[in-house]
Amino acid sequence: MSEIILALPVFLPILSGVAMLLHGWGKEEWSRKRELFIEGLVVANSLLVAGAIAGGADGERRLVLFRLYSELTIMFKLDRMGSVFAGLVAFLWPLATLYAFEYMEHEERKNTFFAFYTITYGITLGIALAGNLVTLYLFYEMLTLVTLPLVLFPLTTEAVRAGRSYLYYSIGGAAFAFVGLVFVLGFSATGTTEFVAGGMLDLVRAGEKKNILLFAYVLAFFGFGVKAALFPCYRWLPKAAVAPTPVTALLHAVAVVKSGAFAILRLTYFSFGSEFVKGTWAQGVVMTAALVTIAFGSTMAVKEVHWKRRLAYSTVSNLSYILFGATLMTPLGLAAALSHLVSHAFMKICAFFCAGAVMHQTGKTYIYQLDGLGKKMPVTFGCLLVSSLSLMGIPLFAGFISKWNLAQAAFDSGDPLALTGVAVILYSALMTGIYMMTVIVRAYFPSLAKKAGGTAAAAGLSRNGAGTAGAATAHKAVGEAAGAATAHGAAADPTWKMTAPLVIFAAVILLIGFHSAPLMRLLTMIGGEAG
Amino acid sequence: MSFVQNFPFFSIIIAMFSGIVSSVLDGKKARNLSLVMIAVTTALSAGTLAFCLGTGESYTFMMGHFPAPWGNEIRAGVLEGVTAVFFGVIMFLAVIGGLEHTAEDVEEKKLNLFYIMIDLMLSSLLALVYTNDLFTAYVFVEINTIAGCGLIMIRQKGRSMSAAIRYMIMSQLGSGLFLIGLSILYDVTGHLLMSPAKESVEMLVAEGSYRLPLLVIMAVIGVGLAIKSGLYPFHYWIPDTYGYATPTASAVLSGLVSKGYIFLLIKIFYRVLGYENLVSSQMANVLYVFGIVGMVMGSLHAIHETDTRRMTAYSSVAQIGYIYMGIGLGTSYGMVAAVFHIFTHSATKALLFISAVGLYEVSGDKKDYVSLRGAGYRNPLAGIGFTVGSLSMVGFPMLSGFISKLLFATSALESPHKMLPTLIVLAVSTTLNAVYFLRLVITLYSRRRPEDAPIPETVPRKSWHLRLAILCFIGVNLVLGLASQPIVQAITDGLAMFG
Repeated sequence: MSEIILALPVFLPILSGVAMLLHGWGKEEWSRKRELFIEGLVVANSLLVAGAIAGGADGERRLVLFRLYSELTIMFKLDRMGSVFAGLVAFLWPLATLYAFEYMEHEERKNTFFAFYTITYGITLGIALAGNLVTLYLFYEMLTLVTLPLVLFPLTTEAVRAGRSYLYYSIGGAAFAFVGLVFVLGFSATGTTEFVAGGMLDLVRAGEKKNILLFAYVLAFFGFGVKAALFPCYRWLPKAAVAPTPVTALLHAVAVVKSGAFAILRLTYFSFGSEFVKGTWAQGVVMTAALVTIAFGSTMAVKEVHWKRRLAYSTVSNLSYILFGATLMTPLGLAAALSHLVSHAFMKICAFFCAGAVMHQTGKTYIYQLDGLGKKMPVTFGCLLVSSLSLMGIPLFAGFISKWNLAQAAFDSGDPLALTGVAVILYSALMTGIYMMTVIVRAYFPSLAKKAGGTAAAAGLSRNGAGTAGAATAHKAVGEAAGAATAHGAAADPTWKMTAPLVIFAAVILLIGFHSAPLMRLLTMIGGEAG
Repeated sequence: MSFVQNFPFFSIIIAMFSGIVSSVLDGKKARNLSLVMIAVTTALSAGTLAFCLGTGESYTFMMGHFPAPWGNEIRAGVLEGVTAVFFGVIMFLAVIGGLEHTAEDVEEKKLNLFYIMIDLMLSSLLALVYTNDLFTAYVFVEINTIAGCGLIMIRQKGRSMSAAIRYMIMSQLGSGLFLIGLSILYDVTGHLLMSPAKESVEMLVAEGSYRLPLLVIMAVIGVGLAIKSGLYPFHYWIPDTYGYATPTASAVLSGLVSKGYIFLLIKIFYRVLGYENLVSSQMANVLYVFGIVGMVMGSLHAIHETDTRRMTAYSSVAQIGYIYMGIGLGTSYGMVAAVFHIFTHSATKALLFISAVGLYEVSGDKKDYVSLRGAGYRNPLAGIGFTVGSLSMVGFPMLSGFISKLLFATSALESPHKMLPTLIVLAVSTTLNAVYFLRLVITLYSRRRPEDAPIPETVPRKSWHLRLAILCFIGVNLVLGLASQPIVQAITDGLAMFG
C-alpha cells in the first residue's frame, strides 16, 4: 500500500479545491478559517510529498490508476528527476500561498481564487509524478484548464484577452505534442509509453523511419515548448502578467512554465532518448530555437517598462536556458538544465514577489515609478537585490552555479552550435544586468536615475516600438520621478506573510550559491542515468 | 431460428407503426408513445446485440417470401447492434432534452406531426443500419429525407422554411445520385441484395470487365451519400438546417441523420463494392482529401460565425470531415476510427446542442457571443455540459473525443503516405476547434459588461428534462472516453463480420 502515497499528494489538493468550489466558502467572516484550512492543507500535502520522496525515489514504486485505452494507462512513478520537480513545487507552494493571503486580502471571490490555486498544486504534482507520457499529457492539458480561471481572475477585457491567448497557445501546443505522443506509442519498445531513462523507442523499427520520427520530435518539442514560452510561441506569457502576482510568480515563473520544460526533458531523455536525437538535424533545430529565445527574451526585457512584463520576458529567456541544456543531449546537459530549473524557480519567484509587494503596498507597476523606494521597503528591495545578482550570474549566488554548469556542459559537448550558445548566454547575462540593475538603481539611487533618466529613459523608451506614446510616457515618467520621493511617502515593507517567503527565497538562493555540491551530486546522478 | 432474431425487424416495424398511430393521437399522447417506442426499440436492439455477441456471428433475415437472389433482407451483426442501440439512446435523450422547446416551437395542433416525424426518422435510421439489400436502403433513404425535412420546417419561424427547402434540394440531389448508382449497379450485376451483388462485383473485378461502370458506381454512390451527410464542400445546407430547427431536431439531425447515411455508405463499401476495390480505385484517396480539407475548412467557417448555433453546426462539417478522413485512410484501423468517431460525434454534438439550449434560455433566447456572456453562471449545469462537450471536441483526455483522436492518429501510423498529413491536420484542426469552442466557453464564464443589453425577463423554464438529458449525455461521453475498449472491440469484430 505504500504506493498510494504517490496518488495522495496529487488528489488531495484537487479534491479539496473542488470541495471548496462546491461548498462556496465565500463568506467574509470565514476568511481566516479558510486561510488556516488552505495553509494547513498545502503544508500537509508538501509533507506528503516529502514523505514520498524520503521513501525512495528510484522509480521502483509505481501506481497504475486506471486504463484510458488499451496500453494507455494513467500511472504514477517517482523517480529522481520527478522528485526534484515535485520537491521544488512542494517547497514553493506553502510559501506562495502564505504570500497570496496577504496579496489577495482586498480582492473579491477569494474562495474561487484559492480553490483553483490549490487544485493547480495537485495538477502540477501530477506532472512531476507522471509515470508515462500519457499521464503527463493528461495533467498537462488539465493544467491549462485549471490555471485559466486564475488568468481570467481580474475579469477585465485585458484579462479575457490574455486568457484566450493562453488557452489557444496551450491547447494548440498540446495538440502538436499529441503527435509526438502517438509516434512514441507507435514505436515504443515496450508497447507502452512508460518513461525509461535513455529513451523507450524500439531503435530497430525507429531507425527505418528516422526522419519522420525526428520531425515528430521537433513538433512535440515545440508543442510542449509553448508552455515553456519558446520563440515564436511566447506571446501568451507577457500578456498573462495581467493576472494577480501570486499567479504570475508561482505559475508563470514556476509551475506552468517549468511543467513545459519538464515535459520537454521527459520527452527528450525519457521517451525519444538523447542518443536518438543527438547529432541530427532535429537537435540543430531545437537548439537554435532555444538560443534565439534566450537572446530575444532578454532583449525584449530591456525594452519593457512594465515591471511584471519585464520579469515575464526575463522568464522567457531563462526558460530557454533550461531548454538549451536539454538540447545538448548529454548527461551534463540534463544536469545543467535541471540545476537552472531549480535555481531559476527561486530567483524568479523572489523577483516577482518583490514586484508584487511593491504593487500591493504602493500600487506602482511601472519601473520609472520606483524611484527611492529602496530605502522605504528595505526587506523587499534587499531580496530583490539578491535575486537580481543571482539572475545576472554573479558568483556566490545560485544563478552562477547553474549558468556555469550550462556553459561547462556546452563546452563539454563539443558541438559548434553549443559553443555559439555560450556566447548567447554571455550576451543574455549582459542584458540581464541591464534590465535587473536599472530597477535596483532607481530604487536605491533616485538622484542618479533622475540625472541619467532625463536623457536615457526618453531615448530608451522611444526606441521601444511604442513610438510617440512611448516617448510621452517617458516624459511623464521623468516628471513623476521628480515628485516620487514625496508621492510614496507612506510606502513600507509589507507584513510577515509577504516578507517571510521573500527572505526564505533569498536565503535559498544564497545557500545554493555557497553550497551547491549536494544538489549537483543528485542532478549529475540523474544526468548519468538518463543522458 | 431463435425468436431474438426477429427483433431488428420488429423494431423497424414498431417505429413505423407508432408513426402511423400517432397521426390520430393528440400531441401529448403522440409524444408519450414516441418515447415508449424509442425505449422499446432500443431494448430490442440491445437484445439483438446481446444475441450477436453471444453467437459471435451475424445473420440475415428474410422479409416476405421471396428467397434470395430476390426479395428484401435485413442483416444483424455486432456492429449493427451497437449502432442501433447507440442511435436509440441518443434519440431518446435528444427528445427528452428538447421536450419543452418542442412544445413551445411547434403549434399545438401539429405537435403529433412532429412526433410522427421522430418515429419515422428512427424507423428509417434503423432500417438503414440493418438493411441487407439496396432497394430497402433506397426506400428508407427517402423516408429519412422526408422526415428530416418535416423536422426542420415544423418550427415555422425565422429561416427554417428556406432551410428546409435547401435541405430538400440538396438531399434530393444526393438521393438522385444514389439512385443512379444503384441503377448502374443493378444493370451491371443484376442484383440488389448485398451478398449476391458483392459476388458479381468480385467476379467482374477479377475478370477486369466493366471497370469504368464500377468506378462510376463508387463515385456516384459515394458523392450521393456524402452530399446527404454534409461532407465539405457539399455542406451548404448544414448551418441553416441545424441552426434554425428546434433543439431536438438539431440534435437529431446533426447527431444521427448524417451518421445513418455514413453508416450505410460504409456498409455498401464493405458488403457490395468491396473495400479493397475502393482503395485500389483511388476512390478512398478522394474521400481522404475531401475529409482533411473539410476538417480545416469547417473549423475556419466556424471561427467566423458569431451565431453560436451556426458555429456548432459548422463544427459538424469539420467532424464529418474526420469521419471521411478515417474512411479514406484505406486501412481497417482507419475504418474502426471512423465508426468510433460516428459515436463520439453523435454523443458530443447532441450534448452541445441540448446544453446550448439551456444557455439560450437564460440569455433571452439570443445566440450571439455578447448575449451569452456569463450564461455559465446563470445556468450552471448547461454551462458544464457545454464545457464538457467542447473539451471532448478538442480531444481532452478522458472524454470521447480523445479516444477518437487517438484512434485516428494510431491508424494513420499504419499508412505510410498519409501518416504525416493526417497527424498534422489533426493537430491543426484540434487547435482550430479550441479557438472557437473554448472562446465560447470563456465567454460563458466571463462577467457581463455594463454596456451589455439587459437580459429580457423570460419565464424561467426550470425543466428537469433538460437537466436529465445533459447529465446523461455527459455520462455517455465519459463512458466513450473511459470505457472505450469493449466498444472499439465490438466495432472491430463487427467490421470483420462485414467482410
